[in-house]
Amino acid sequence: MARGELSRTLWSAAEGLRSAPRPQCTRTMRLPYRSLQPAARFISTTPSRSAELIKETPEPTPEPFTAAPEFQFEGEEDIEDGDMGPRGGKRSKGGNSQQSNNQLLRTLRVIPASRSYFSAKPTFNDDYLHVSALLRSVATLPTISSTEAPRVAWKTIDQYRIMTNEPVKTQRFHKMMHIVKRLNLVHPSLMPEHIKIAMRRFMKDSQPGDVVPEPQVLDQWGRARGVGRRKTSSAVVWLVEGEGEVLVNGKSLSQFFGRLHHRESAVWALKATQRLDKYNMFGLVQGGGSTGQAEALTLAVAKALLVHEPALKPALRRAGCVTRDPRKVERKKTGHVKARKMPTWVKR
Amino acid sequence: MPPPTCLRSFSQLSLDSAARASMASRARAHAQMACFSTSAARYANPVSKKKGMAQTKKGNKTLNVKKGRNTVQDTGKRPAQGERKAARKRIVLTNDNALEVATLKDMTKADVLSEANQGRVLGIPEATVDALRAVEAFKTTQGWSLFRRPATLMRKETIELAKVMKAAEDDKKTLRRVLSGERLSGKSTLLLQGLSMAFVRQWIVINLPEAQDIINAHTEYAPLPDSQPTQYTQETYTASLLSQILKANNTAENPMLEKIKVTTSPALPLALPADATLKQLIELGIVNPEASWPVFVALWQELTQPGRPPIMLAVDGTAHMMKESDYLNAEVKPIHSFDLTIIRHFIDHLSGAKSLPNGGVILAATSQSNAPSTPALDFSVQVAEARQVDPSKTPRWNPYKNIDPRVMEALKDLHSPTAKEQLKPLDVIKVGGLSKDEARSIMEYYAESGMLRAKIDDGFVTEKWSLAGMGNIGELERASVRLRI
Amino acid sequence: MPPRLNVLSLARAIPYRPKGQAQWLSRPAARLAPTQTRTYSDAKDEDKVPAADRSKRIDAKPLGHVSEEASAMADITGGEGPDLSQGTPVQDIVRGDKKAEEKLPKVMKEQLKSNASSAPKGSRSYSTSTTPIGGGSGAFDMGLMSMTSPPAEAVAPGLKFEMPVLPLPKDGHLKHRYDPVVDQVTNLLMRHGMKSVAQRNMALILQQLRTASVPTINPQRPLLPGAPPPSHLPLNPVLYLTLAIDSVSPLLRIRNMKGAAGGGVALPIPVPLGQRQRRRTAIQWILGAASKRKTNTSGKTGYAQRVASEIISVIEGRSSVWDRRNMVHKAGISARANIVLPRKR
Repeated sequence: MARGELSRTLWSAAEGLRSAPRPQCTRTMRLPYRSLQPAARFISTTPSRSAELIKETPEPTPEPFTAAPEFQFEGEEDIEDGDMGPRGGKRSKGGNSQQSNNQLLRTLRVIPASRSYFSAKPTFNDDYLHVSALLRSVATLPTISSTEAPRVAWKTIDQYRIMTNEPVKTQRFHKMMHIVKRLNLVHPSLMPEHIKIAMRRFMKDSQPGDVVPEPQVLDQWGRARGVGRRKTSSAVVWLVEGEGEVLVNGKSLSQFFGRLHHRESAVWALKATQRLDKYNMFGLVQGGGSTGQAEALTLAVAKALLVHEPALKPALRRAGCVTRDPRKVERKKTGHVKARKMPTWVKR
Repeated sequence: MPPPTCLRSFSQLSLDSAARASMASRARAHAQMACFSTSAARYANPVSKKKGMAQTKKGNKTLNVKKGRNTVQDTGKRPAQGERKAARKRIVLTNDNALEVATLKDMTKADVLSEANQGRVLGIPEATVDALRAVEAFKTTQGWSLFRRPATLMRKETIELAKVMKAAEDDKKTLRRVLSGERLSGKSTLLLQGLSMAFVRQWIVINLPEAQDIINAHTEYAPLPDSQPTQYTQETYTASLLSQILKANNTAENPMLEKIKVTTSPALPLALPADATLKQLIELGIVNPEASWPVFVALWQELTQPGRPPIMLAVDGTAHMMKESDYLNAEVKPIHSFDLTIIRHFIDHLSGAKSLPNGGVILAATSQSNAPSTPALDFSVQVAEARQVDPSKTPRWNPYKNIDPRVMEALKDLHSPTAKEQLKPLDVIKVGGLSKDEARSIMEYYAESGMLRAKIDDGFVTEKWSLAGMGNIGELERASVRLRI
Repeated sequence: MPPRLNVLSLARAIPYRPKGQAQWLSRPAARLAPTQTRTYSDAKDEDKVPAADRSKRIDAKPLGHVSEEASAMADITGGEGPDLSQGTPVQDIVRGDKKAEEKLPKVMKEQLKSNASSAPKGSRSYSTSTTPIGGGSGAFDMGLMSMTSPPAEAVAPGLKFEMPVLPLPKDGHLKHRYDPVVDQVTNLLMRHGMKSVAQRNMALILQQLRTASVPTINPQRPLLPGAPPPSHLPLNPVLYLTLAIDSVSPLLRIRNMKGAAGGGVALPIPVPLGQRQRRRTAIQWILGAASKRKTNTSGKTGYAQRVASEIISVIEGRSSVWDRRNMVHKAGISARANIVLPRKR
């Protein structure tokens, strides 16, 4: 059978399901209305769900699968979808005999829990349909701009593929994520709880802001401590309120750093926020060269200053003092003269 | 000097102690004695360019065998000999582009020593600038070339020095001070301020601009007859020192040396006209370098007569004279600096062996950027500095360091406990950082001169003060005027 | 009589004011669509507007007469507008408008022509100098600084002292603390990654510029329009340097496109340069010319002195860099026929 025909028949089957007295389209994929169709055997697509089903509705006598027995169909119109015979029965116009026939069919035929069962990526399709249904339900709610939305680390496509064990295509995944991200834009005060739960499926296990470092406090002498690193240098700085005196490793700034550029770097956090005359600084720095030491001090001073005045963070960020510079010397590799340099090519 | 001549000089040198007894007249001995030197005369006047002589050499064409190289031979005019060095050593004291500071006042004779000047920037009067230039007090590394005219900040240490000078002037005391402090903290400038205050107060000023020049064996030397142990004179250097003294102390406004008559009868190898002035005495020494040292001794004798003005004796780069010099004696052993007559003269006054009857100040500035290691001097200065802070806590001598006993002996007054009196005869002036008020004052001067383009407020002053290592004035100038423009 | 309808220059004269704190407020959710019609800022003007339209809305009313508009504008900016009692000549109104000029009577057309031909001979209709783009006001950065301190703000929670004014000043970032031109020159002075040596040389260059005597400008080699008088330059050495570099920076470079002319012949094509590229070219020319100079001092300051004297000679119009720039521009003009513009659709 051609694929198109299969999808058409699936569609018609779904149509049939929709017209059935059981409102199947309202149920969520995860919580099938098992109570309404106790006798039906579901074949689920995800292992967890099948496990659930097996647990809850154990099959007392596992009868072997055989071809369906011959049916006696009263209505001639039902023959048109012979393939999916059992469902076609639902579209018949009614009558007690047909209802009983449906009942009968349900006991005899396996009905997939998911409408996507016969597709190539059933879980993905389920997810897609689910999030689009959710979006329809909240489409009218007010939204906020993407910059103000809660920051979420979404699963990457690889993580999603591993989770579903399905070869999801990149473009389709992104289409779905587009919808999920749109869901995230719903105004937080109006966000329904079930959407929050549903979105959790697409988030990474650890979110930014999950790990909150313990807030630093001033010690009993009013000192704030900050640690900074750069290249191979590391610096510790204690900052107290004062008049702008600076000592690094017990020397004055001009004695420790010969170059004015380095001196400025070391106290840049204080200089940029015009607080050089309001704090005294004592620093210990070791390792590396003078540039590394000066810029390690920059970071350390900025961190210590943030303990005193947490509200300075945006200013310090704009002054370029908060970010740790992660660059390091690249290691030398075997077969290379330096990190990247290759030995000159020699004939023979 | 070709080797045979050199050897002959050496032999003469060893002979001269034996021959000295038989010498009839000192003058003749002087004439015969070969002075030797390892280099050209440093203090000779630069050769003036003569017209018509091809002094500047055109570049010669050399054979270039390298292929594919069509280098353009530089055949332009080359700078004359010594021209580039002269440009490097030139001292520029004015910047026509800098703005005139309207509020700048000059040092005056009346109030230069007053304490009310603290924290003010005072200009140096024109005549004093000429005199200071004559004694080579300005250095190329200092920032004079940025401003309209030389001016200095009267900082705390300057006032301290002014007090010392006032005491020396009033009580005719001989006070000796060693200037110490970290690099770029303004020791040489403080020395210059001392000299300029002395000039303004019409003292006699004798300045040895750089001790290294005396001991680095760049000028000729000769043993001093009748000295035990042997001392050595440096005739060319002494002659140039005499000319400096004359030029600096005998200005048009204050022809001091012309007024003073020679009262003693000095024993000179050359005849001095009767009723001569000190100026004539000095000129005699300048014209005849071989007689320069006796002239210097005679001059000193004259200056220490009662009724003469106080004397300012100063040296920069003291550490150089606290070790053995680069000169060699007849046994090819290095001569100790203290055996050079000029240095001995200075050290005698610094150590207190000789005093100035008319009062005066001996200043010795140390240097941090060009200084040999002299543990004795460093330790003595450390002790004196510690004693100023807390007399009970003084550092201990490190026995593993090599001590120079003669230096220790000369500086023993620095180790003596603090006297109850106000001013110790020998002490250290520790040149530290500026206070914020002083920093503000000097930075306002920078801004008014147009060299610092910023609004001078407390935040800005403290920022630069901190960046300059808590008020180090040299670093402050760098941070605000020179490097960050 | 002052020029009447110079609307362009009026627009340029409006000073640019940085917004200060307001820039960091969160954006409002809804934005007003820009109105297409002109609004009158003054309520007083309402009655002056010719009520040709029946609409009561202010912005629906037509504009006033050109001369009225110009005088109103001059009133606002404090300049001298056209005299309303006299009226404005038609030539002034249609000036610069080609279509309108065609409709003018013949007498006026001829007059216009004679005016146009009265321009001095040899003057170019285009400018070869560069003007800084995106400098805010469009005028030259004179390096002026404000002597008024920003208003102190109330101490917010999480602060012990007053908040620094955001955004920080231009040199507030750790990585961009020097003037951009100074930074670029420093980096181009640098050899073998020795930046501190380059910075020292840069400081020496600026110091030389400060102490050198006031330059005399050669009228043959004009500097950028809007440059300050030469006597101001030594006191602001960064401006001195910037002015020298921007004045000789070429507008374009010639790219030789291989094979574009056919037969393996390269086709020169002029390519416009961005501001940083222009400066880079000029700096490299200046440094190259400086290294060809002869040292007249020994010691570490030699190179800095040569570069400084080259910069001074650029300002004074004596440098060979000017010829170099003119050559490039000439080549660009002759090669402009080779430019193939994308076809319009």
